Amino acid sequence: MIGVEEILIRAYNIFFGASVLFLISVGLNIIYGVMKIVNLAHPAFFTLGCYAVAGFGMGIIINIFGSSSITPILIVPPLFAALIVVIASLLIFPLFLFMSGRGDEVQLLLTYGLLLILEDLFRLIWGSEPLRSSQPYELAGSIYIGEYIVPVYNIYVIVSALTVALLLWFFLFKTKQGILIRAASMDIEMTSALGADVRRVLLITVLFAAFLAGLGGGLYIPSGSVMLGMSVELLVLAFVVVVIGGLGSFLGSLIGSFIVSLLRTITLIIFPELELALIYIVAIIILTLKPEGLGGGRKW
Amino acid sequence: MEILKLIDVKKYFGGVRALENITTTLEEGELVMVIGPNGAGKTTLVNVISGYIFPDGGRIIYLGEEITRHPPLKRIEKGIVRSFQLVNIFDGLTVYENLMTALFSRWKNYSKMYKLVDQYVEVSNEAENILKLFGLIDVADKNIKSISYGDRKLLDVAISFAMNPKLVMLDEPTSGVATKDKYEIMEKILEIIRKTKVTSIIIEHDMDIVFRYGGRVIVMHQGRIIADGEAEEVRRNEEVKKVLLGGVYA
Amino acid sequence: MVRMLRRAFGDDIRVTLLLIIIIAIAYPVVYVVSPGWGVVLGHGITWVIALIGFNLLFNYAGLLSFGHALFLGIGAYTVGFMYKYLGITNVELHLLGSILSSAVIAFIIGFVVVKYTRIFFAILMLAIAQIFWSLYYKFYWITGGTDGIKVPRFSILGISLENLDFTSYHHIYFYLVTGIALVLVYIMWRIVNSPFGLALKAIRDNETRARFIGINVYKMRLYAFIISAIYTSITGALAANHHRLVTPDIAYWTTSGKVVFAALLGGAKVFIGPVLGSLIYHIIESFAMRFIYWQLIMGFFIIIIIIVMPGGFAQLIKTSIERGSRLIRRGE
Repeated sequence: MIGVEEILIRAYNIFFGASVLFLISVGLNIIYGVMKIVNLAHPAFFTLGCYAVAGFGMGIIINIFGSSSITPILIVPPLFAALIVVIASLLIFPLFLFMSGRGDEVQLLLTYGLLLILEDLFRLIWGSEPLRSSQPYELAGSIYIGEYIVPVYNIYVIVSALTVALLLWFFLFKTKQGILIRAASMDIEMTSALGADVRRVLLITVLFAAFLAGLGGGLYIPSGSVMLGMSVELLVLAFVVVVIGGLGSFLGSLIGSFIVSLLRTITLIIFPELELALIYIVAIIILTLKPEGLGGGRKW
Repeated sequence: MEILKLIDVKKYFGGVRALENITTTLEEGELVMVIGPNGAGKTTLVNVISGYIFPDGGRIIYLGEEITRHPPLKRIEKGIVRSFQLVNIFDGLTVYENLMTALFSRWKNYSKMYKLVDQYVEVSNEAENILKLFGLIDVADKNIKSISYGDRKLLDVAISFAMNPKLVMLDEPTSGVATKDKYEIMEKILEIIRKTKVTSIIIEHDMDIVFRYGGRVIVMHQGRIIADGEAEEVRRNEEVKKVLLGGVYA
Repeated sequence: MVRMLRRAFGDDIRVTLLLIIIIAIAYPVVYVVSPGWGVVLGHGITWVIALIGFNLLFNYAGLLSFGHALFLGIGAYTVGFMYKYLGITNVELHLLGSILSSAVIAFIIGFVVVKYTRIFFAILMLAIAQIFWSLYYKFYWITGGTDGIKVPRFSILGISLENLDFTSYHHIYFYLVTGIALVLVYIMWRIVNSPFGLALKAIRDNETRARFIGINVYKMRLYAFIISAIYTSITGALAANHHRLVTPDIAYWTTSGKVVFAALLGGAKVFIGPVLGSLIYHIIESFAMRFIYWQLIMGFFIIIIIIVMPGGFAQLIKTSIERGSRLIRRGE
C-alpha cells in the first residue's frame, strides 16, 4: 500500500521537477512568444548557470561569505549564475539580431550551431566529468517525514520558482512594460508601428530569458550535478513542456512543467527506460486533441 | 443547367457575422462578379464554397449533390477550383514547373517516381498550350522571383485553369497590379473564360473593372447579398450606391 | 514538342556522377600515398548516401530533421544484431536487412511525425533520436551498451574476406560502396526530377496551394521520409561494416549535427551539394581530428555558413565558374 508519506514525497519531487522545468521553459516561451525566435540553445544557458556556480562561483562565494552562513549561500549562487548567463547572452546578442525576422530554418540552424558550440565550450572549460556544488543543499539540511528523509533545499527551489512565476505574472499582466511585451508577442509589426523599438524589445526579452535560465541553473545545481549532454536532454524536455502547455503561453509553461514533471515521476517508477518516449507520446496525444496546447497558444 | 446552389448559408467568427442568408444559384457557363466593401464576406463566401472552411448553417449544392461538409480535396476532384487573393504560387519553381505541378496533380500522376518530368510528353504539351493561352510562354523557364507581378497573378489563375475546373473562383485577380495593367489582365482572364466556357465567380474590388465588363454582378455587404443582377441595373440600385460609394472603399 | 528542363551545374546528374567517379579513380593513388587518407575517402563515399537521403527531406521536401542519426543507428544496429544473433556477415543481407528495418520504422515514426512541420518536426526528430539513443545505451544486454557490438569483416556474395590483407579488403569495401553510391545517387536524381519530386518541391514552397490543387501533402511527405530513412540507414549499415564496431554514438545528437553540417557545407540547395559536402567534410574532419574540440568548430562553421555562404561550397564553385567564364569571355 502506498502510504501518505510516499505520496507526499512523490508530490514534493514532482513540484521540484516542475519548478526547474518551469524556469527553463518559460524563457524559451518568452523568446518565441515575443520575438518569434526559436532558440534551441536556451537550455544551454541553464547549463551554463549550473557550470558557472559549480565551476567557480561557489568557490568564490564561500571565500567571501564563509562556508556556514546560510543566507548568502542560498541567495547568491542563483543570482551569480543569472549574471554570468546574462553577460553571455549579451555577447551572443548580435546573433539574435540577425535571426530576428528570418525564417524558422535559419533560426533552427543557427541556434543548433550555438548549442554545439556551447556544449563543447563546457567541455573545453570544465572538462568531461560531472560537477557538483552541494554546499547550499547540505547546509539547508533535511527533515524527516515518516521514514523518509526530505531535503529542505528543494523547498527553497520550489518557493523561488513560485516567486518568480508570481513576479513574472505581475510584470506581464500588470505593468506597462509587461503589457507592451505581451502586445508585442501578438503582433510585432503593430507594436513597432506604435513606437516601441523592436531592437530594445528583443534585447530585453533575450536578457530576461537568459536571466531566468541562469537563475534556474544556479538554483538547481546544488541539488544535483551538471554534465555534458545535459543541454540536449533538457532541450528535449523543455520542448515538450512548451508543446503541451502551448507555445507562447505563460500559463502553458506552468501547466506544461507540472504535467511533464508528473509524467516523469510516474514513468520513472514504472518503466524508467521509456521515460522520454512516454512523455512524447502523451505530448502527441495532447497535440492531436488540442493543437494549441493546454494553456492556449499558437498551433504547430 | 444549374451548377451551384447556395441555400441560406451562414458563417460566424465568434460574434462577427461573416455570412448570413446567402441564397443564390449559378448556371453552367455563367460568369458572376462579386463586389462589396472590405469585410463584406466575399472571400469567406469563396472559402465556404471551396471547402477551406465549413459554414455554420445552410447548404451548398453542386451539380445536384450536397457538398456542404466535403473536404477541399474532394471538391477539387469534382472540379471546384479557386485562386487566392495574395499571389499563392510555388516560389522556388519556374513558371513552367508551376504549371506542370498542377497538371500532374490533375492527371493524378504527381506521386509517380519512375519517369522524369521531361518524359511526360502529353502533360508537357498541355502546359505549353496553357502558357501560350495566358501569354506566359516567353517566361516559361524563368524563376517566379524574376517575373513581373502581373505575370505572377496570371500564373496563379493559369494554375487554377490547369485543374480543368467546372467552377473556378478567382479572388481579386487584379489586386496589387499597377492600374495600367489591370485591364489587360482582366481582359485576358475574361477571354480565357469565354474560350473555355467555364463557370466563374470573380471577386473584384475595383468598381471600374466590374461595371466596365457588365454581366451578372452580386453585391455583398456585411455578410449579406444586397443586390444580384445585370451590372447596369445593380449600379443604379440606391442601396448599392450607398454601400459602394459611401463608407470604407478603396 | 517536349520542353527540357534546363539543368544548372549543381543539378546535373552527370557532373555529380563524374565527381564520384573521379574520387574512385583517385582513390587507389591516394591509398598508395597514404592508406589513412584512402580510408577517409571511404568514409566520404559511404556518407554520400545518407547525405543525399537527408537532403531529399531538407531541400526538396522542406523538412529539417535534427535527428537523422536515428536512421544511421537503425542501419548500424541492424547489422550488429544480424551478426550477433544470427551470425550473418553477408553484406547483401545486411543491406537488405537495413532497408527493411528502416522502412518499417520510418513508416511507423513518419506516420505521426510527418503531420508536423518546421520547428516541431526538427525537434521531434531530435527527441525521437535521443529516445532511440538512450534505448541503445540502456538495454546494454541486447545492444552491448557503450562497448557496442564488434562486427567481423563482411562477406560478399558468400565469399569471406577474412584472410585478405587490409589493403585488398579496403579496396573491395571502397569499390562496393562506390558502386552502391553511384546507383543510389542516380536513383535519387530520378526521384527528385520525377513528378513526385516536383510535387515535393511544390509542397515545400507553398503547402496550402499544393493542397488546393489536389496534392496529398501528408502522403508525399511520408514517402519522402521513408526514402530518406532508407538511404540514411544504408549508410549506417555500410559504416558499421567499415568501422567494424556498432556503438550508441552513431545515434547521438552530435552525429545528427554532422549530417546537417555536411549538407550545409556542400550546399543543400543543389543536387551535387550533399555529395560535395560529404567529401569535403570528411577531409576537413581528418585534419581537425587532432584538434579535439571538433564539435565547437562544426557549430561555429554552421553559423558562419548560414550567415555568409548559405549555398555552401556548391554555390562557391558555381560563382567561381561563372566569374571565370565571364572573365574568359571578356578576354576574347
